This record gives sequence, C-alpha cells and structure tokens, in this order.
Amino acid sequence: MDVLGHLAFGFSVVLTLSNLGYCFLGVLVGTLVGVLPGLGPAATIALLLPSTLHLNHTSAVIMLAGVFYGAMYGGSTTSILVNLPGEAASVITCLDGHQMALQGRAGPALGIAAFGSFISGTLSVVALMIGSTLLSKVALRFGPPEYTSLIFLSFSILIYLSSGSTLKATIMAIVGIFLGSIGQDLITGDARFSYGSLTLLDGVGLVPVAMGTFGIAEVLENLESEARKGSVLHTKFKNLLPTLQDWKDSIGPIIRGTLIGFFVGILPGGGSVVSSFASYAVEKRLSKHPERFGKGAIQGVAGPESANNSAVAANFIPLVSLGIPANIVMALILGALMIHGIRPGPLFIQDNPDLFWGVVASMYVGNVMLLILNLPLIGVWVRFLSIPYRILFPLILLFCLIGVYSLNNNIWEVVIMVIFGVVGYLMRKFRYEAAPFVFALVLSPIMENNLRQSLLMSEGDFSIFFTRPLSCSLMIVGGILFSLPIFPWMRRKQM
Amino acid sequence: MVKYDRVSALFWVAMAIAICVESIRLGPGSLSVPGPGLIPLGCGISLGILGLIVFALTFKRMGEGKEVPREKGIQWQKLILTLVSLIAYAFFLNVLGLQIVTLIWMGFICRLGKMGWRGTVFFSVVTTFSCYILFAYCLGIRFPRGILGF
Repeated sequence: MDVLGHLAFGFSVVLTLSNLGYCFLGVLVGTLVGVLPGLGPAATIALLLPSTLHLNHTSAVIMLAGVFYGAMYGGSTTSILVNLPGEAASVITCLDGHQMALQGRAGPALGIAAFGSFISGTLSVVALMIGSTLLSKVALRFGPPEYTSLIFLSFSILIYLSSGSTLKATIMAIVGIFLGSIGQDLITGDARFSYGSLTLLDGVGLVPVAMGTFGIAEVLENLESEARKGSVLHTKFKNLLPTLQDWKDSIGPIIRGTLIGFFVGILPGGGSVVSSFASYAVEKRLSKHPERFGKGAIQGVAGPESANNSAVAANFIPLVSLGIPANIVMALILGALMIHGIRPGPLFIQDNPDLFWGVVASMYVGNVMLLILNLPLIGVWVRFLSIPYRILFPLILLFCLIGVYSLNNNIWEVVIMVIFGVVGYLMRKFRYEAAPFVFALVLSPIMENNLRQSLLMSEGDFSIFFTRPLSCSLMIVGGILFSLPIFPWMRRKQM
Repeated sequence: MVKYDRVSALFWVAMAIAICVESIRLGPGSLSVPGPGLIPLGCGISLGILGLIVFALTFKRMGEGKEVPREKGIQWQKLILTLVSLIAYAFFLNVLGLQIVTLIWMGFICRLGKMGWRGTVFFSVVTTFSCYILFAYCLGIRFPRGILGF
C-alpha cells in the first residue's frame, strides 16, 4: 500500500504540463534516435546533458529516461524494415524481423515489437518500484570496501561483455580511470595533471568527453565516405495488429523476455544488448521448431524486443539504490544527476522522493506515449530514414558545440570535446571501445574515494576486501569474470 | 591491424611512463595513507604492462593470415576541415556572437557536405534562427553578444 501511495505521488509529479512535455520530448527524441542508425541512446543522452543543466533535476531525468526506453522502441523499426539496427539492442531483431517483412508481415512484426515493448516496459516498472526499495535497504550495509568491490565487478562485467578485445577494453577502462583522476584531489586538494590550467583543475569533464567520443567521433566516421547504407523496404503496412495466432505464439516469449531483461538489466554491466541476445537464445532453445528462427519466427522478435525494454527499467535499480550505473547510458544519467548536485545511493529514494517516484510514474506514461507514437506513426518514422546525412551531421555538430559551450561558457571545454572527438575517432580506427572508457571516467572518482577510504580503514591492508562477506563475494565474482578470457586467450593466442 | 596495434601499444607505454613520472612527483603516499599519486601510479603501471603485452602479441600474430588492408578512400581533408571549423566556432563565438558565427559556420559545413547554394542559405538561416529561439530564448542560455549586440 505504501508503494501505491508513493506511486500516486509520482503521478502527481509527472502529470504536470511541463513534465508531460519533457516526457513526450524524451520518448519522441528516443524513438527518432532509435530509428536513425548511427546515433544511439548513449550519444543522444551525451548530447542532451548540457541542456539538462537548465532544467530541474526531475524533468531532466524524465526526459533522459524517455530517450533511453524510446530508443528501444524505435530501434526495432529499422531492424525490421531496413535490416539495419537503429541501435545495438535491436541487432538480434534483424534476424527474424526483416525476414517477416520480406514475407509481407512487416505490420505484425512492428506491431508485436511495439506491444511486447509496452507490456514488458510496464511490468518491469512495477518490478523497479519494488526492487529499488528492497535493494536500498541492502545498500545501507554497503561501506567503502563493498562499493569498491562492486565497482570492480562492474568493470569486470563490462570488460567481459565487450564485443572486441578484452585486453583493449581493459586498457580503455584504465585510461578512463586515469582521466577521472585529473583535477583537484578530493582529499588533499593537490592539483593532479592540470599543468596550471583552470579548466583541467575542475577535471576533464564528462560532458565534453562523452560528446566528443560519441557525437563528434560518430560524425567523423560517417563523413569518411559517402556510402549509403541500407535501403528502406517499401511496403504498405496493411495491418499492424498481430493476429490471435501471433499473440499465442508471442505471449510466452514476451513474459520470458521481460524476466530475462529485468534480471540481466539489474546486473552492473548488464543491459539491453545482452538481454536481447539472451532472450533470443532462450526462445530458440525452448521452441518446438528452432529451425524457423532466422526465417521469420515471430518469437524471435517478441522475446528480444521485450527483453531490451525490460532491461531499461531494471538498469535504474543499481543506480538509484547503490549509486552505481549498470552501463554507459546509466553512467551518463548519473553524470546528469551529479551535474545537479545529486548523488544517488541508499538514501536516494528517501531524500529525493519526487525525483524517484516522478521518474517511475513517467515510465508508465512514457510507455503509453510510445505505443501511440510507434504504431500509427510508423510511416512517418520511416520517412526519417530518407533524410540525407548532409542535413543531419551539421545539426549534430552544432548541438555538440552549443551544448558544451553552454555548460560554463568556456571555449576550452569545446577544445576538449574536439580533442576527444579525434580520440574517439582514432579509437574506432584502432578497434578500441569507447564504452569502458567513458564508464570508467564516470566511476573513477567514486572508486578512488571508496578505495582510499577502505585503505585508510584497514591501514593499508588489502584483505579488508576479502574479510567482509559481501565485498569478498563481489571481488571473487569480479575476479573470475576478469580472468576468464585469459584462458581462451592463451590457447587461441587471441588479443 | 597488426601495425595499428603496434602503434597504439607504443603510445600506451609512452603514456604510462609519463603518468608514472608525474604520479611519483605528486607523491603516491603509502597504502595506509594513500596520497594523490597512488591511483594514477597504479593506472600508469597497469597501462604500461598491458601496452607491452599488446606489443608483444603483435609479433606472435604476424604469421597469422593476411594483414587487414589500410582503409582507403577516407576524405581526410573533409575531416580536418570539420575539426578546424569546430575550434574556430568556439573562438569566434566570443567575438562575433551566436547568430553570425552560427550562420557562417553552418554555411561552411553545409557546403563541405556538398549541399547546393540555395539549400545552404535556407538551411543555415533556419538553423541559426531556431538555435537562437531554442537555446537563448527557451532554455535561457547566455551567449556572448558579439558585434550585433544581442
């Protein structure tokens, strides 16, 4: 009953004209970002970070959350119609979704993706309400050693799940931790690696780095050549409503996808991409006709699309309960909260009820908005795919420029953004992933603070991380994940 | 890719050395009383070791299959001009103000993207006006007044 009362309070926060507007703006931008290949939710949230400075914190997070789960809805459109995922979590939808479109069943594919996303999104928000409050109580038992161990586990999962080289992902994480240490030392006040620069004394800054690494680098990579990617499947969407048989085939995958997405999404390092792949694998394993997967099986669309949406709500749980982001998008949202002077943790829900319950309620509202946006307006979204890149890229660059400049009216932050744009571009060329780098940049101050406090507590004895049961468990799991790639790496001489 | 990895490995090793030198100057302290240089020193040492491992592995991989061909057809001039224009935008924003610098920059970038003159002019004007409305008016962001005075 307490939860219902809080939820009612949350609705009173979100059902104002301004917050409804920001929620709508977020899901609209998110859908657009999901539809347009090239600019994912992480890059978009990075671009919007400076704008959130001028909003109140609740509206800011409502909007950014809307971008995140909106992108999950939008991503399925291009996967199904163009065989080109709008964002990474919709990659697996290409396998069966596009095949359904080629068989003249684009409508039911798009429809079940939207309905599945709606059902899973709604159910997972319920679980978010319960899960966050439960985990917050557990989090009160977390001390500096537990936080250090949890961050280590997060890094381990993120590195383990990196699509490229584990070694390179580890290097990126270390570089991110180092960059996060630039600036004034929080404990001693010493200037570290700032070399007399007032800009660097405040630290490198998440916003210029994120916008450079994701936004500018993305544009530079796309400007390299003028090759046009993919062509839109021109088809009439006769019927977006799935048939009764479609529903019978899909309801199981939707429920299972919701559960898989939720539990994977809670884990630090877990997210929409992993959950969508896991759901596809489970559905194929459980299916009586696994040979149909890859040839237009609706279960191959329903499960993953439900999983990726469910993971979004679950991603918020470690952030609001522990202050630890589950993935790069959550790291950027954490950055947005820190810009507003809010530090999530065990007391976050208690200290910021309007923010937490407002965001939770906004997810219900946002899911309804997305269902309306995504079904009747499919034809409109498809038209956006025809926008030439020569119109899009100046807008992206301008947004980056003005966004970064508006933070502190400091041209040097624009220079930092451009530098990291080049760095991000080179990372792509040299096959280094940006996600561990930016993730580590966000977590570096938190990790250092907790690590140093732990060492002060234990007078330099590292066994503190292993003598406390919770910390020890986290360290062991993190250590196993971290060392797993070494064995196939030594056997196969893989880097 | 082997050559790329070798170059990046050497870069990481050089960066690691620089980080370690500065970290020692800052003072790593001790484990019981960590100093400001402790974490950077740890990063530097780890980075150096991993860089050396990457470098060593490139020699083991040399005999394995064909080298990935260097990417050709990259429009370097376009990329460099884009980057230079971003820096120029930031520096001239203080002098010329938001409207003029955005108009000029948009015109330049659109032409760089091979947009026609009419499209360039129209798009630049509309975008400049929209930027002003969105950022300066709606979001209340303060920009330098520049030579126009607003």
